[in-house]
Amino acid sequence: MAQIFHPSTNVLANVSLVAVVVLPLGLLVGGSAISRSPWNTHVGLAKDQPAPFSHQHHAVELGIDCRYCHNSVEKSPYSNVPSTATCYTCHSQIWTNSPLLEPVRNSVATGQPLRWNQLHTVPDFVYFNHAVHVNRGLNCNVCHGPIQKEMMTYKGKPFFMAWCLNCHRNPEEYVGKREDVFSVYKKYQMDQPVVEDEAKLSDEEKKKLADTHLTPEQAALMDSGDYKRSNDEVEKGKELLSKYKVKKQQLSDCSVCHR
Amino acid sequence: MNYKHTSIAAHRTSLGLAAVTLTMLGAAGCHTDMWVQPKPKPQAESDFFVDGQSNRPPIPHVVDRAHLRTDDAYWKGIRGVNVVDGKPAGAVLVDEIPSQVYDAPEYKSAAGDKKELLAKVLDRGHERFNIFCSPCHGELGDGNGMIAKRGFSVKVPPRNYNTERLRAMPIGHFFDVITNGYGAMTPRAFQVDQNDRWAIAAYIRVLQYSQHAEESDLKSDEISKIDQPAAPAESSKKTGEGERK
Ligand code: HEC
Ligand code: HEC
Ligand code: HEC
Ligand code: HEC
Ligand code: HEC
Ligand code: HEC
Repeated sequence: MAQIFHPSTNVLANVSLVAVVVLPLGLLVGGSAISRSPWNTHVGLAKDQPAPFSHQHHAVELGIDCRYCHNSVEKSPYSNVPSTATCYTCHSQIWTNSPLLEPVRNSVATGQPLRWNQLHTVPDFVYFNHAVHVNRGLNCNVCHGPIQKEMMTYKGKPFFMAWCLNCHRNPEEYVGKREDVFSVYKKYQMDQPVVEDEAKLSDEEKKKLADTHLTPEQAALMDSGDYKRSNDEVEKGKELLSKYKVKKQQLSDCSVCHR
Repeated sequence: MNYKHTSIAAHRTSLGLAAVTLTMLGAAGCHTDMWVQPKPKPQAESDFFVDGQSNRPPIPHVVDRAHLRTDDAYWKGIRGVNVVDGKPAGAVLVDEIPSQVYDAPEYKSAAGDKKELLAKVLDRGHERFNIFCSPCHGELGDGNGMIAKRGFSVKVPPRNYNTERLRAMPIGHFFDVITNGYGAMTPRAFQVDQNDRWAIAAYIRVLQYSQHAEESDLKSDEISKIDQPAAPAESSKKTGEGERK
C-alpha cells in the first residue's frame, strides 16, 4: 500500500502541535489586549459633542463648582449633564455672539435639548449610584480621570467589572473625607506647591496648608486619577470605613451591582 | 499510525479553541441583549415618546394632591395673600426661615437645639451660595465674582447685596429672586433645591451684616483680629450670626 502521508507532513504535524499551544494563547493574549485597548474601552478618546464645551475652561479658569452643572451628583444615583438652561444662566449675557455657542442658543430658542454624547457608561444590567460613592469621599477623578484638565472631555477609566471590584474589595485604598471631594478643585485652581513632607510640619502649619495646598494624593488625582496609598494612609482609610459603617465583606456580592 | 490520530485530534482541538475564543470575542464585542435594555433612563433618548425624551414633563394641569403647595410662606416666600376684586392682594414678604426648612432630613442630627439648627442651616447656605451664586455675586456678595469680571457685567452687573434697598428687603425676597429670577438673572429653581434656596436666602442676610458691621458690633478680641488678613468670610460670618439672635 502506498504511503498516505509524505514524510514532509511530519513537519506539518509538528507545526500543528506547536500551533495547538501558540494559537489559542495568542488569541487569548491578543484578545485581551484588544479588549483592554482604547479601541474597545474608548479610554482617552473624546467624542463629537454638539458644542465644544471645555471643563478646563469652566471648572478651573472660571472656578465653577462641578455641582453648578452636575447638580444632582451628590443626591441621586444619576449625575445629570446640565440642561441648556444651566448654560444660559451665564451665556444669556456672556459670549452671546460666539459662533461656538450657536447650538446652545438654538436649543434655548426651540426647546430642543442638546444631544451630548455620553462617554462613561456601564451596561444596563449594572446598577451604579453616584451619591453613594461621592458621599464616601470618592473624588470624581478616581473614576473619571483628570476631568478638570480636559479641553474636550474624554473617558478616563475602562469601567470593567474587575475595575469596580478592585475598589470594592479594597475600599480603604480609596475612600476619603466627604468635604474634600469638591474642595480639591478649588485648591488645584490656586496652584500652590504640593505639601511633600507633612510629618515635618507643626499642627498649626498643617491646618493652614490644608485649605490651600494639595496633598501628594490629591495632586496625583488631579494629574492622572491614579495613586498608590502608603500604609499610614490605608490605615486612615480603614478608620473612615468604620466611621462610614461600610460593610466591606458584602461590597463585592454580585447582587450589589447586578440587581 | 497513532501519530495521525493525535494530529487530527490536535487540529480539532485548536480549531475548537479558536472557534470558542472567537465566539467569546464576538460576544464581548456586540452585545445587543441585556446591555441595551429598552427601559427609559434619565436624560436618555426615547423612540417611544413624541418629543424623543425619556424624561417626562408633568402633564399640563395635573394637580399633585399629595404635595399641594398651599403654604405660601414656604413655597413663595410671602404670606397673607387675599383675593380682592379677583386679584391677589395684601401679600407680605416673610422675613424668617419657614419651619419646614428645619424639618429637612439634612438638619435632623441637630434637632431640638434651635441655635445649633440655625447654624447648620446657615452653614448649608454658605456652601450652596459658594456653588451657585458666588461665580457672579462673589463670595462676599459684592457682585464681583469671576464671571462678573469676565464680562458678564458689561450689560447688567450682578447686584451687590450690600445696598440700602437690599438690606431692607425681607429674606422672602431673596427666596423669590432665586426661584423666579429677577431681570437679567434667570430663575434657578431647576438648579437649587427648595430648602437650599431658603438656606441661601438666610445666608445672604449674614453676608449683608458682615459687610455692613459697625465696630461696636464686635467683641474686643474680634476687633484685634481685624487687621490680620486671615479668612475674612469666617470671622465676619460669626458676627452676623450673633446679631441675628
Ligand atoms: C457660570 C457661568 C458659565 C456657565 C454656567 C457656562 N459658561 Fe461657557 N463660558 C463662560 C465664560 C465666562 C466664557 C468665556 C470666558 C473667557 O474666555 O473669558 C465661556 C466660554 C464658553 C465657550 C467658548 C466660547 C468661545 O467662543 O470661545 C463655550 C463653547 C462654552 N462656554 C460653552 C458652554 C456650555 C455648553 C455651557 C453649558 C453646559 C456653558 N458654557 C456654561 C461662563 C459660563
Ligand atoms: C459649566 C458646566 C459644567 C461644570 C462646572 C462641570 N461640568 Fe462636567 N460636563 C458638563 C457638560 C456640558 C458635559 C457634557 C459634555 C462633555 O462630555 O464634555 C459634562 C460632562 C462631564 C463628564 C462626562 C459625562 C459622560 O458623558 O460620561 C464628567 C465625568 C464630568 N462632566 C465631570 C465633571 C467634574 C468632575 C466637574 C468639576 C471639576 C465638572 N464636570 C464640572 C458641564 C459641566
Ligand atoms: C466610583 C466611581 C465614580 C465616581 C467617584 C464618580 N463617577 Fe461619574 N460615573 C461613574 C460611572 C460608572 C458612570 C456611568 C453610569 C451610567 O452608565 O449610568 C458615571 C457617569 C457620569 C456622568 C454621566 C451621566 C450619568 O450619570 O450616567 C457624569 C456627568 C458624571 N459621571 C459625573 C461625575 C462627577 C461630577 C463626579 C464627582 C462628583 C463623579 N461622576 C464621580 C463612576 C463614578
Ligand atoms: C474607588 C472605589 C470604588 C469604585 C471604583 C467603585 N466603587 Fe462602588 N462603592 C464603593 C464604596 C466605598 C461603596 C460603599 C458605600 C457604602 O456602603 O456606604 C460602594 C458601593 C457601591 C454600591 C452600593 C450602593 C447601595 O445603594 O448600596 C453599588 C451598587 C456600587 N458601589 C456600584 C459600583 C459599580 C457598578 C462600580 C464600577 C462601575 C463601582 N461601584 C466602582 C467604592 C467604589
Ligand atoms: C462592583 C460592581 C459589580 C459586582 C459586585 C459584580 N459585577 Fe459583574 N459586572 C459589573 C460591571 C460594571 C460589568 C460590565 C463590565 C463591562 O462593561 O465590560 C459587569 C459585567 C458582568 C457580566 C457580563 C460580562 C459580559 O461581558 O457580558 C457578568 C456575567 C457578571 N458581571 C457577573 C457577575 C457575577 C457572577 C458577580 C458576583 C461574583 C458580579 N458580576 C459582581 C459590575 C459588578
Ligand atoms: C450668572 C450670573 C448670576 C448668578 C450665578 C446669580 N446671579 Fe443673582 N443676579 C445676577 C444679575 C445680573 C442680577 C441683576 C439683575 C437685574 O438687575 O436685572 C442679579 C440680582 C440678584 C439679586 C438682587 C435682586 C434685587 O432685588 O435687586 C439677588 C438677591 C440675587 N441676584 C441673588 C442671587 C442668588 C441667591 C444666587 C444664587 C442662587 C444668584 N443670585 C446667582 C446674576 C447672577
